[in-house]
Amino acid sequence: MKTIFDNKSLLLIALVVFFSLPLTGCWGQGELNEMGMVMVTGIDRTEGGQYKLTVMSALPTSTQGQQGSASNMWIGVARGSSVPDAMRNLNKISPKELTWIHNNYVIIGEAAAREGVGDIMEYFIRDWQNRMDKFVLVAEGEASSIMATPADTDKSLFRELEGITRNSEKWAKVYISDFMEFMIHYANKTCDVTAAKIGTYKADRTTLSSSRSEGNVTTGESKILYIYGTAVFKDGKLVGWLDGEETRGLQWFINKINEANVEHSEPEKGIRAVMEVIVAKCNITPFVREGKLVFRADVNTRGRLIELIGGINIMDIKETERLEKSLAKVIENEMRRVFEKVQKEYKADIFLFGDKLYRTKPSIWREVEEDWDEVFTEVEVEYNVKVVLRGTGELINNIKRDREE
Amino acid sequence: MKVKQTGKYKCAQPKTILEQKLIDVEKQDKEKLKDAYITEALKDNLSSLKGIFKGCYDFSIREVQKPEEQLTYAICYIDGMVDSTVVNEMVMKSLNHICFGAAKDTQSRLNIMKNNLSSSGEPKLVSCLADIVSELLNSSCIVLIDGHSEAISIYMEGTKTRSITEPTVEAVVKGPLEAFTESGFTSVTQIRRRLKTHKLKTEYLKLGKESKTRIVVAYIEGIADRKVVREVKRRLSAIDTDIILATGQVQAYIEDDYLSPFPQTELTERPDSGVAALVEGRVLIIVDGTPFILMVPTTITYFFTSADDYYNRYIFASFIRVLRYLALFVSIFGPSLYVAITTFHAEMIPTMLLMTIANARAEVPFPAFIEAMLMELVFEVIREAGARQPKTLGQALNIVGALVIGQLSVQAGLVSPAMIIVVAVTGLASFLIPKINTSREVSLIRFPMLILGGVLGIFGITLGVLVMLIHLVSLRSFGVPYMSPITPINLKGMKDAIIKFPEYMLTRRPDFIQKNNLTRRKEKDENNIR
Repeated sequence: MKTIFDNKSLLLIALVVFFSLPLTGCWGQGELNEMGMVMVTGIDRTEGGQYKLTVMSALPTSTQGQQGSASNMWIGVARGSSVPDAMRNLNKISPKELTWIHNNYVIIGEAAAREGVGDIMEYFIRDWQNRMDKFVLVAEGEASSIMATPADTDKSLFRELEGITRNSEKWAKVYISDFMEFMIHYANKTCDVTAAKIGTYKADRTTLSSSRSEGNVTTGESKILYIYGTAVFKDGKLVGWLDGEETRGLQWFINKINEANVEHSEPEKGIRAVMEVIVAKCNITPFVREGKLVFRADVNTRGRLIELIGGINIMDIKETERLEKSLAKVIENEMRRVFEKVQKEYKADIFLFGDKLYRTKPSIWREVEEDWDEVFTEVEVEYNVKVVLRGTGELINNIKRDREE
Repeated sequence: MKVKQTGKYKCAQPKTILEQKLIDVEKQDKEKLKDAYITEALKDNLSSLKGIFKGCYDFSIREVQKPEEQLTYAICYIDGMVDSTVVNEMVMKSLNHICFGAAKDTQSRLNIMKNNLSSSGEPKLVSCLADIVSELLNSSCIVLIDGHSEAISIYMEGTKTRSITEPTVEAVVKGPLEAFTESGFTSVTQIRRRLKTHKLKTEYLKLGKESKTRIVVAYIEGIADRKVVREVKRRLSAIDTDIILATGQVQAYIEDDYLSPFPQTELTERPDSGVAALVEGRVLIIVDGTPFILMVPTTITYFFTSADDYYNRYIFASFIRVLRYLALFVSIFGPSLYVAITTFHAEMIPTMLLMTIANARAEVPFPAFIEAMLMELVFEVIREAGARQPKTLGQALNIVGALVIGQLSVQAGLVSPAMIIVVAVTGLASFLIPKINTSREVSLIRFPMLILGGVLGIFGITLGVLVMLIHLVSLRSFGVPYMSPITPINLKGMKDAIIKFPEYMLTRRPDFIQKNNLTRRKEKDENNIR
């Protein structure tokens, strides 16, 4: 190994390389205990046209010694001419170096949302610290007041939010979209955006867990946080809300039903049947009929009975078919109700009809592209819902019905 | 500046006059011995031997006169090297009862003596003084006879050796509980007993100018690659040092890349492992004086192999092997990944886990890198203390190690509990590699990795991994690529590498070691059950 380098110069090179490593200053390095991990960011618009940023950040606190589980969440509020400006201004009060690498929720206040959501989200999409799989929520009222809700059972509100988000898949009355989906729909001119609604309501404390903070004992009432329903945007601006049932109706259209109940009841006959959806698939086909744009929604649903009250004989195939038809009618009504409301009231294409048209019938789309907003208010929807019952649970017929016979 | 001139190359230059003289004397002595032959006069011979062994109190001479047969002889030996009771019982007795009868000429008298001495060992005739000296030092007994210019040498080793004990480093659950001892000859016997074939060749050479250590190269003719055997012998005979005390020294001399942290020779103290290596076509190097033997060539997969793998069923053996590979990964990258991820890439950790780690670190005054470096060093200190301490101090060490460093440092808030866990897991993982010498050396790579991870994050670790991989694939052990059978890929060889296939599927020997003779058994044979 006779090379141009002798041992001495090799050693020198190694030393230079070694000592230049620390000179990088450990770029991008940060100790965990010096960081404040922002978990929830709330954005409001003040009357002066400024942004008001509320952050909920976890500050590392030693768990040793102290037995009490005090919340280690720090809430800071700052104002600024832009979202990043407000973020910088937070340094005025923040005890730790705030980072957004674990920012899981962005809550947009109602006023800010009505002014337009795009300008707010721009920063969160562009910044490297925020990930695309985090969630967007729209607050009913001010985001900052929602974030000031005292945590119920967990140590921090953030954990509650996380739990509620997980549960949102278990029912269809809310759908929480992540950054990615939200921004794709926002950027797409073929459709409009929705986001889940977050809010609080007052309720009697006695029905709730005992870990609520002491201050609320005397009032007997406390603020409860919920995520339920949907905020509807039109051209990136909040135009209105959908309640739970309407949200579920919307989700039949956009194939987001994961778990849901469909309830058919005839109170006069004392009949009530509840189906749990196993699979729900909706296929939207646009076509032109007599010069009018029609969208056919073919919904195929499979489910199982989870409640059956009254005199339906489920072993009789005719009665079962009748039940399936009435369940299908329930779904159809639900869809019809939300579609008509959104079409007439909000005029926002949150059903992704434009997108469907663009994908399947691009020639028609090109014709209506310019004035899709008006065309959308005129389109008709044909519903074709099919329900198939698979399984009746642990029982066959209603227990009481068998006894009476 | 004057100092500099005389500094660097001084040693290489001719010595002082005194040194030169000593060297010359030595040379002369050697040459004198080489050309010196014993004479017919016993007295002269004895005085020259006495001159050579002047100042050696363990050198014994017994002169015996037997006038009825006109015989005067002397028995020379080094006490302790030769069992003196054997000398008394066998040599003296057989020479006492000697009867030359009609034989008068010197040659026939010598033959009769030689025959008589056959009862105590294999008699050899020597006449060169140098040979006599080396035979004496090699536990032989020399019989010098008056009137003969040849002496009879009988090999009779009487050295006290340790008895065969259980393996201490490579313990197994099932399987033979027998380890090599310091005696090289016993080691060869232990191998021979398990391998009853004349094809097992044991070649013998001496290394070390002063120590003259016996070294045996063992291999199976017809299986071992001839080139490898020749290369092993060439490298061994090229060792030109004064003293060889243990296998580790030989290892350092014959390795392809002696600077590498990855050993390219494998140590074992188990005869069964040695025999298994022989049958695969590898060459053993047995060094007299250590209970460890060397196996070459070796590849990286052998370091994850324990003898126990072959005595257990394949499911467990495979599971443990995969676990060992994981353990190696953890022991090299555990602390560096922890430091890199927590200080550079906190976004990689799930939020809740991050909060737990951050809370654990809340009061720690050191940066994570310093903390990790400190704790790793402390761990190494405890480990080394445990290895070198007298056994009676074990309890005190345990208390200091576990209690003071483990518990109190966390309570005092100097170290975070998470770091203790990382260091402990890393340390434990490094013990999982069955070849303990290897695991200790290889797991030291975690220190440079820790520096890279602490300074450049995962980018730095990636650089380190790259350098390591480039080094590994370029490494060779006696011509065999070090990473085989993983790369260059050898699917047949993989049957006994990361996963151990059931014994009946291992029909071929690994063909990256040798290509002469690959059949362990015929794949289709009516004698086989399957």
